[in-house]
Amino acid sequence: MALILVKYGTDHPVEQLKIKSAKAEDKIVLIQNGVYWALKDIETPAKVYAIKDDFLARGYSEEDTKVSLISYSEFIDLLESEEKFIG
Amino acid sequence: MKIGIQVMVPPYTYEDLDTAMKIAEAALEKGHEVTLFLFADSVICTNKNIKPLRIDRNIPQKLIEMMKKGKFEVHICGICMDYRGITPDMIIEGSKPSGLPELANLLATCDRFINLMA
Repeated sequence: MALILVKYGTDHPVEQLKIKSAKAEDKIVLIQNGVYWALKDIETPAKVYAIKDDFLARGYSEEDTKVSLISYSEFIDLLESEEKFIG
Repeated sequence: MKIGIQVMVPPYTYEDLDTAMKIAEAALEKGHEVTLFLFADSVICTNKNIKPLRIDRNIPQKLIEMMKKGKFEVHICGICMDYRGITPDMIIEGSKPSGLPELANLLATCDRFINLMA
């Protein structure tokens, strides 16, 4: 239903609220420092993705993530499929 | 698809401009049309006098290259330019001084709007 962009880390109250409010039909994309969320289990019914470049840029490897890693090209595919955007 | 991206923070200090350009590049490769709307301190990135260290990325130059490829526009909030002393002769070729009416039009006409403001 909506594409939710999370760009701040796990201690950010607005990002916590966005993730808490996400519905099962929503997609969450972790970007910039938002990729730190990918290191732990996220309590949300929504499908969660993290931008691979931003995750690896912070010194982690692909085995460290608990969510699917996507490229910017795949991000555009998600953007196409979701009409609403919450940033 | 027409995609609008809005940014407000300065280049080099924050990551939003880099994110906006990477998203724009991916969208352009898929044949979409992208308009980047620069607001507040983000307008600094259109200053053609910016000279980063050789090892660093040159954001104004990158924006010029992207505009030359087509289907990519850079709009700059005119009031934000004035506020920061950036005059039209200082901005990179192809970028357009713009304003809130144009932003409103972009919001009304684009298919997707990516807000990197918050």
